[in-house]
Amino acid sequence: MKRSLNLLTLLLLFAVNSTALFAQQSDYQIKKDFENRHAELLTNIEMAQKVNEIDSLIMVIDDFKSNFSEHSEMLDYALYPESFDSKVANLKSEARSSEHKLLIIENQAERLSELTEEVTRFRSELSILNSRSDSLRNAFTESQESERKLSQLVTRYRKSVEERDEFIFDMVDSLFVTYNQLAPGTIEELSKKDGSGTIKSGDNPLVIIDSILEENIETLKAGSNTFSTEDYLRIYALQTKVNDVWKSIGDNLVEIYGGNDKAKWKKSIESDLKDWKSSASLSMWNSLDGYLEQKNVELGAFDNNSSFFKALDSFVSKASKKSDEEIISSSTYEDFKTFSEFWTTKVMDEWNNYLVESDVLTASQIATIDSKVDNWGDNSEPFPTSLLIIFGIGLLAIIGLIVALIVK
Amino acid sequence: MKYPRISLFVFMAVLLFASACKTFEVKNVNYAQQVESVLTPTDNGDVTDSRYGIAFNILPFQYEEMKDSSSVLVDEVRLIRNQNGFYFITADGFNNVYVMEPINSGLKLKEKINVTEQGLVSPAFNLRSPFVQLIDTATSETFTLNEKGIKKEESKS
Repeated sequence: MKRSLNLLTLLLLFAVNSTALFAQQSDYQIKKDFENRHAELLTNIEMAQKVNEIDSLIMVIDDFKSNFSEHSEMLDYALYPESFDSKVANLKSEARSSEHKLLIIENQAERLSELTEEVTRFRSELSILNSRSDSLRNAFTESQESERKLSQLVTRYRKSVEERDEFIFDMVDSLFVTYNQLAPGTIEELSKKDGSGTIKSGDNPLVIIDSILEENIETLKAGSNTFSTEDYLRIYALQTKVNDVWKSIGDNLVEIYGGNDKAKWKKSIESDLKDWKSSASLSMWNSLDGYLEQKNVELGAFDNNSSFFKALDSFVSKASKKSDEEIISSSTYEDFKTFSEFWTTKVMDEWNNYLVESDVLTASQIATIDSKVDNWGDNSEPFPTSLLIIFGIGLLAIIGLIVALIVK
Repeated sequence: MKYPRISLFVFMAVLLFASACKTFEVKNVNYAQQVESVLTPTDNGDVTDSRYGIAFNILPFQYEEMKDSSSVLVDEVRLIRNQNGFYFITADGFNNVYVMEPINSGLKLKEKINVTEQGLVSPAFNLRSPFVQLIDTATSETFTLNEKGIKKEESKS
């Protein structure tokens, strides 16, 4: 407001005094006056913090131009190699450029404000989901109910954690979209604005992220007997996503919301991310190994993405080769059916999104194995019994015919 | 008789050629400087106008005005050139405008125009072709000058 009033005063003073000023001035003084006012306007453009300030300045520039236009010929000469028009055009160009930047910053500040509201909503929703999951976990831990009721509680708990994880997936997507596209200069502006403590600590995205990490580390510790392999895969995919998003926008978030504790925030969140990653990774690979063992699929040892793919590839290739070598008998067909069920229902369907999102298996690796599984299926399929009977009857008929011909 | 005639012919030819060379000139050259130069003297009194390519010492002018060239007493030297190529030079505290004609490696006084007896407070030149306007911005006095002197005193407050 004060700045706008100053601009208005500048405009009025300029309009009223300019004619009087030129009355007994030397051309040299007019040139100096032009240069001084040009420099003053440039400074005002650089210092402007709002679009409406720039709009007022554009009006001042128009007046500046009309007030000096009667001296344009002299100024063209005096300002050589620049000219009156080029100096005015330069001011307008700077004003437009500044207006464009301020528009971006204002839009982003608006988006940021919306996001802060969204973060508040995230915080309360996450709190509800966390407390629901915690109470369910406590309920089945302390439950003396029947096995059937206990199982229902565990199922509800898992469903609750799943809902919470899906919510976090959406939330980090939203954070990523907002903070990854901040224009140059915006981070500094927002940092000045929000690092000053105007944002409530509960609405600070860093607080929310930190609480998500701590809650998930705790969930992994507490849920070892209740989670399925799919749950662990989802949690692993979630931590991969949060990790990726943090790598992209973490520095921006720390710069904007870190206040005076930027280094502390960065260290704390990165340490929690590391703990969550190692915990989620260990749990997921153990669970996957246990699941395959339970299904009698002997893949061999694996504990990371690369060794898992190699184990799968080697298992399917060897099994397919073995099936190919069997001509009549089909002892490997049962192995194929077991593996195929795991592959089709789990890898290709229920787990597919989590496997790909967390890079446990890439889409091309899944396609490679899938093709080999199809090949294995063709090789291991037993010779159909009906064809064997027809073949036997045909053979007997031929032998009978030959015998009949010899007897005759 | 034959040789004197040839010598006369050669002499006439050389004379004709030399006179032809001497008369080569371009008319209607406009030397006018549209905006005055405001030059700050160094401690030695040297002023340099890098845009128009002239450098000289102000102390002879100062001596002419104040009979003192022991140190530089003017803050700014005002200089403008009219369309005929004469330099108009003055400074704060001067009573006169010096109209100087460029000569070989020097400036020669063409006219010393007395404009005041109290000394100019804040002089400035404007080119108003074919004249040069002198304003004392402190007193709002204006003078219209050419290389011959004051054309007409327009106003005096």
